[in-house]
Amino acid sequence: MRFKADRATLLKALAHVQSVVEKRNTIPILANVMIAVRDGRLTLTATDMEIAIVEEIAATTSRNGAATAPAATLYEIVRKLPEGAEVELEHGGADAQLALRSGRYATSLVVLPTDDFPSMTAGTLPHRFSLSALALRGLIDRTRFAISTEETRYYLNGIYLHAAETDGTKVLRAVATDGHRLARVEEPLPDGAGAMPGVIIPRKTVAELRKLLDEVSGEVRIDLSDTRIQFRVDAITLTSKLIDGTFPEYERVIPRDNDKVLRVGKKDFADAVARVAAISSERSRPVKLSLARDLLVLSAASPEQGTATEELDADHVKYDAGPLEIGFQARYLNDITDQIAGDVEFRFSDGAAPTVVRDAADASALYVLMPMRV
Amino acid sequence: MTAGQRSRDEPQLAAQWARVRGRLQSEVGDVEYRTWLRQMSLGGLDGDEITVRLPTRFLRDWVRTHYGDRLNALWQAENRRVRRVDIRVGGITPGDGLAEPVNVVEPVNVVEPVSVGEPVSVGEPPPQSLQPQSSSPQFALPPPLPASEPSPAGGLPAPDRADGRSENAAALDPRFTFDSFVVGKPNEFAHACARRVAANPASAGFNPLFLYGGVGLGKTHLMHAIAWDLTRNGDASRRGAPVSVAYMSAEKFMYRFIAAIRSQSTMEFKEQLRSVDVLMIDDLQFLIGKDATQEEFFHTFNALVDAGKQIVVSADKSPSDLSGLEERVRTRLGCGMVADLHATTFELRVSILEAKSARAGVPVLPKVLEFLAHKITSNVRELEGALNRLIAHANLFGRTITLESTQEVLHDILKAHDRRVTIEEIQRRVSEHWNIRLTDMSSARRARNVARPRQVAMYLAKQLTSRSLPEIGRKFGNRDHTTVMHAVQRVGELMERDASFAEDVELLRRMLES
Amino acid sequence: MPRQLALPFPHALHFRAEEFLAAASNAEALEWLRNTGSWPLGRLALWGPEGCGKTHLLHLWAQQHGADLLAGPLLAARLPEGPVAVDDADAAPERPLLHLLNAAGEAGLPVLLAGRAAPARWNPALPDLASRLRATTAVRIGPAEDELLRSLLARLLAERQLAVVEPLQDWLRLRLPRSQAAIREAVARLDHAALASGGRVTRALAQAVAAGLQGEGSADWPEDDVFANSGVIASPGAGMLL
Repeated sequence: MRFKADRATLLKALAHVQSVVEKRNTIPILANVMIAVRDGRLTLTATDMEIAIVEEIAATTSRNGAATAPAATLYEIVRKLPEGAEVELEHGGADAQLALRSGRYATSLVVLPTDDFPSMTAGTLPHRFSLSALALRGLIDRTRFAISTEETRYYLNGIYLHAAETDGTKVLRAVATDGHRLARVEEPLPDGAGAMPGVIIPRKTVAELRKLLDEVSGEVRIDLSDTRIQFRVDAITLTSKLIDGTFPEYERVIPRDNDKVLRVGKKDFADAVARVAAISSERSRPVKLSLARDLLVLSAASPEQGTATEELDADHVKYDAGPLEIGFQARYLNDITDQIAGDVEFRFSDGAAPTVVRDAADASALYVLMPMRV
Repeated sequence: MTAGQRSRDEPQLAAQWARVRGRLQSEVGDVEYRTWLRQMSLGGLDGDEITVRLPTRFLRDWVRTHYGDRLNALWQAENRRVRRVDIRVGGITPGDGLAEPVNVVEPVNVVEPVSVGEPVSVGEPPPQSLQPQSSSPQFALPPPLPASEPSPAGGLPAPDRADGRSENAAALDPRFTFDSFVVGKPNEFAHACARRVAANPASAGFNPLFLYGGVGLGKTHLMHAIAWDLTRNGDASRRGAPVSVAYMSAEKFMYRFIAAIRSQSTMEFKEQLRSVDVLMIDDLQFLIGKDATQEEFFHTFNALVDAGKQIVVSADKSPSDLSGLEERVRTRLGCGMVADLHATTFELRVSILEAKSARAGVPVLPKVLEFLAHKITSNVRELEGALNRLIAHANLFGRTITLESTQEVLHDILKAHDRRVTIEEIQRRVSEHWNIRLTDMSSARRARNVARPRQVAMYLAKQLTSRSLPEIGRKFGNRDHTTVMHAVQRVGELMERDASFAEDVELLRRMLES
Repeated sequence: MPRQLALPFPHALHFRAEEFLAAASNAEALEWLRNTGSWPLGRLALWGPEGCGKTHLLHLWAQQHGADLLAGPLLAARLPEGPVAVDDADAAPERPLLHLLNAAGEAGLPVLLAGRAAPARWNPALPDLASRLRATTAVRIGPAEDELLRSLLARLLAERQLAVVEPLQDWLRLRLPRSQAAIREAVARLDHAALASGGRVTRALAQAVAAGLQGEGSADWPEDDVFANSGVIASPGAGMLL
C-alpha cells in the first residue's frame, strides 16, 4: 500500500476515527485504525465492535494494500506535522512496518495483521431516509442530556428514535430519559421513515455522530434495521449496533392535565437558579420553587452553608393558579433551560407529580421533570 | 458482505449452526438443552459477528450468562470468520398456550406409584363424564352442541340464541336421570313423587311438586330426571303425547326476566314461558328479595296451573319456611305435593358411591368407598365430587386408587385446615421428640445428641417454611446460613442411609403438618 | 433528607407460555390444564400462595381455549359465552360466582378458578356455593423449589430489563423469604429504588431491599402491580363478563 495525502485532510479523518477507538480497550487491535487503498480510493476505518466508522479521503494512491496502526499515535504524529505538509504512507505488506514520511521527517510504526481487524458490517438495512444535519442536531442536542448513564438499566442508555404522531401530524421523534427527567423532541417525518421500527441508539454513537454533525450542513442519510443503524455524512459512514431493549412506554408518564402554568424568562430563571443553588455544593440538593399569583420565590438551604432566596415578581413571571411548592435538583432545571431560548413554560400538578416544561415559542420539544420530595 | 455472498454463505452457516447446537446439546445434556437452548435461532453473520436470537429477554439473559462463552468458543471453532456471538431478543415467534414452558427443575414424576394397598386397575375414563376426552388436539374442548341436536326439553321455540338452543331449556345434565338416582331411605319419598309426576304430569295432588332439602341432596337431579323422562317418553298418561318442558334455575329466570325488560320484550318472555307443558324452577330461594321477579313468577305460575300445566319447584326450605317470599306465593307453592330430601345415611352414601363407580367403569376398593362415605357426610354433591376427583386423577396420572392416594388427592377436603408451621413450633416438637432442652436449639453446644436434633429442626424449617436460610440461622442462635445449608445437606444424606432416622424425620414432618 | 422521585413508568406484565417456569411444584397443575377434558364437571380450581404462578397459568389456559379471563372481585352475573377462567375467585362475590358455575355447567363450558386456598376453605355464606366448591377438583401449586426461585428472579429482572450479575442475584435470593411472592416484591422494590436513586443495582441496595422483606415470612404481600392497572386482566375472547 502506498499513497500521499495532504496533512489537513488526513488529520481531520484521523480525528474522526480515533475518537471511536476504545481508549481503555484490552484488545490491542481495537486501538488501531485500518488504512486501506483499493482501486485508487483511500479509506480509514476504526471500530470498538459496537460502532464502526469508515471515512474515505482524497489521496494520491499508487499501490493497493492495507495496514492497521495505532490510531492515537498516528493522529499525534500527523497533528504535529507542519501545516500544509504532504504525508506519504507506505506499507510493504505482511508484518512489515508502516512507513510515514513527510518532508524530512520519517517514522515507522508497528502494525498488527489486517486479518485480525474486526469487521463490522451492517447486514441488510431495510429502512432508509434522509434528515438535514441541522434537524438531526436539534433532535440530539435537546435530548442527549437526559440519557441515562446507569448501565444496569441498559434500555435507557440511548436515544429512542421512532415514528409517531402528534395531533395528527406524522413526526420523527427522539426521546431520552434517565428515570428522573425525560426529553421528547420531534421533526416532521422524513420520507421513508414511516415504517421504521423504534430503535434505541447508544449514547456513544450519539456522541460520535454529534461530533461529525458539527462539520457538515447538508443531508445525513440514515439506513437502519432493528439491530443496526448507519449514518452517512459526506464521505463518512458511521455504523452502530442498536440497544437490544424495549424503551418504556414514555407517553404514560407525560401528564396531560397539569393546569398550573408558570411562564418565566429563560435567562431570569436560569440565573436565579444558579445563584440560589450556589449555597450548596451538594449536587442533589433541591432548589425550591414557591409559587403564588405572579410571584416565584426560589430558595435553597444547606445545613452547612445557610440559606438563599430570590424573588421573581410580576415583571418577570406570569402565574395565576393557586399556591404551590415544589423542589427540583438545580442541575436538572439547568439542563432543561439550557435547551430553551426565550420564555420557559412550566406546567405543574402538585409537589410530587411530574412537571412538564416547554419552550413557550417552540412546540417541537417537551420535557418532563420529576420533583424531589422535600 | 454483499447480498450475493450472504446467500451463498447461508447453507454453509446453517450446517455449522446445526453442528454448534449439536455439540452444545451433548455438552449440557438433553434436559438442560431443551429447557434453555431449544428456542435459539440463527440471526446471521455480519462481518465477524454471528447473531443468535432468543424469543424473550429472560431466555436471552439466561443464555448470555450461562452459555455465552460456550457459544462463542463453539462458533469460533466451527467458522474462522466468527469472532463474536451476539445474543439478542427475536427470532422464533412465541407460541401461545401451555405447550412449552421453561422447565427449571428437571421434570420429575410428580406422583410416585403408591405401593401400599391392593392395586385397582383404572379403566377407561368415565363414559358419562361431562367433558368427554377428545382424541385429537390435547387441549380441544368438546364442540358445542350442534344446532340440529334436538332440544332435550322438546317443543319450545328457540328465539334468539345463535347456537340454536332454546334458552328456556337449559341443557339438561345427561348424568341426571332416574336410572342414575340412587334411592335410599332419606330420599325415597321425593323420588317416588318425582316418578309420579314424570309418569303423569299435572295429576291432582301433585301440582305443583315442591322438592326441598339441603344443598347437594339431589333436588336438581330429580328435576332433570323428570325432564329427561318426559322428553324421551312423552306423557305416558296420554299415550306418549309430546311434552314441552322448560327447566331453569331461579337465578336464570330472573336474569332472563330482567333482560326481557331491558330489551322491552317481556311479552315474548311471558308467552314463551306460558306455552310450555311443564315448568321447572330450581333453587327458588334465590327469588327472595327480588320482588318484581317474584311477581312475574307468581303470574306465570298461576297462568300455568290454571291451564292444567305441571309446575315443579325446588328450594332449600319448605314453602312455609321461605320467609322472604310473599304469603300468597308460599300458599300456592304448598298446595300441591311437598316432598323433602333428608341428609344421607352412611348406607345411602356407600350405595351412591358404588353405583357411581360402577357407572364410571372404575372399580374402587370397598375400603376406599367406605372411607369416603365415612368422611364426607355433608351431601351427595360433595361425595360424588370427591369420587369424581379420585377417578379423574387416577386416569390423568395413570395411578391406582388406594386409601393413601385418596387421602393425598383429597387432602384439601379431608383435612380441617392448612396450617402454617413456624420455626418455633418445629424447634419445640423436635426437642420434645429427642427429649432435649428447647434452649439447646439455639445453644452453642456441639455434642451429637444435641447437634443432630438441631440439624433436623433446621432441615424441617427449610422444608416447611419459606423463611430464608439466614433467617433460619438467626433463629438457631444466630448461626450462619452456611451452617443451615450444611445441616440440610447432612440430614438429607443421613435420611438416605439410615431408614430409622428417616422415619423419625418423616414422623416429625407429618406431626407438624397435620 | 430530600429525595428524588422517579418517573412512574408502567411495568407491563405479560404472560407467555415460554416464560412459565415449570417445576415439580406446578407439574400437577400443568398436567390438569393440558387435559381440560378430564376435569370432573368441567371445573378445576388451582390454589397456592400469592405469586406462585396461578395468574400466569390462567392466562395460558385462557389463550389456549379462547376463554374469558375475569377478575374475581369484579365478577358480575352474566351468562358465559365460552370457557371462563376466574382469577382471585376466592374474592369473588358469591352469587355471581354461583351463577357462573351453574350457567357454565348447564352450557357444558369449562370453568377454571384460582385462589390462595383450596376452594373447600373459601367458606362462602351461600351453602349452594360452598357445596359446589367443595365438589370442585382442586389442584395445589406447591412451595417453590430453590431452582424455581432462582430462575424466577432472573426472569423478573429480565422482564424489567435490569442487568444484575448472577452473584448478586444469588446473594439477594439467599436473603429473601423462599417464596415467589417475596421474589416478585423484591424485584419490584429493587427496580423502583434503583430508578429513584439513579444508581446501579448494588449490593447495598439489594441489602436494603432484603432487610425490608425479612421477617415478613410468607405472610401476604402487598399487592404488586399485578392487579394495579385495572380489573380487566385480559380479553382474548369476545364479550367480557365484567
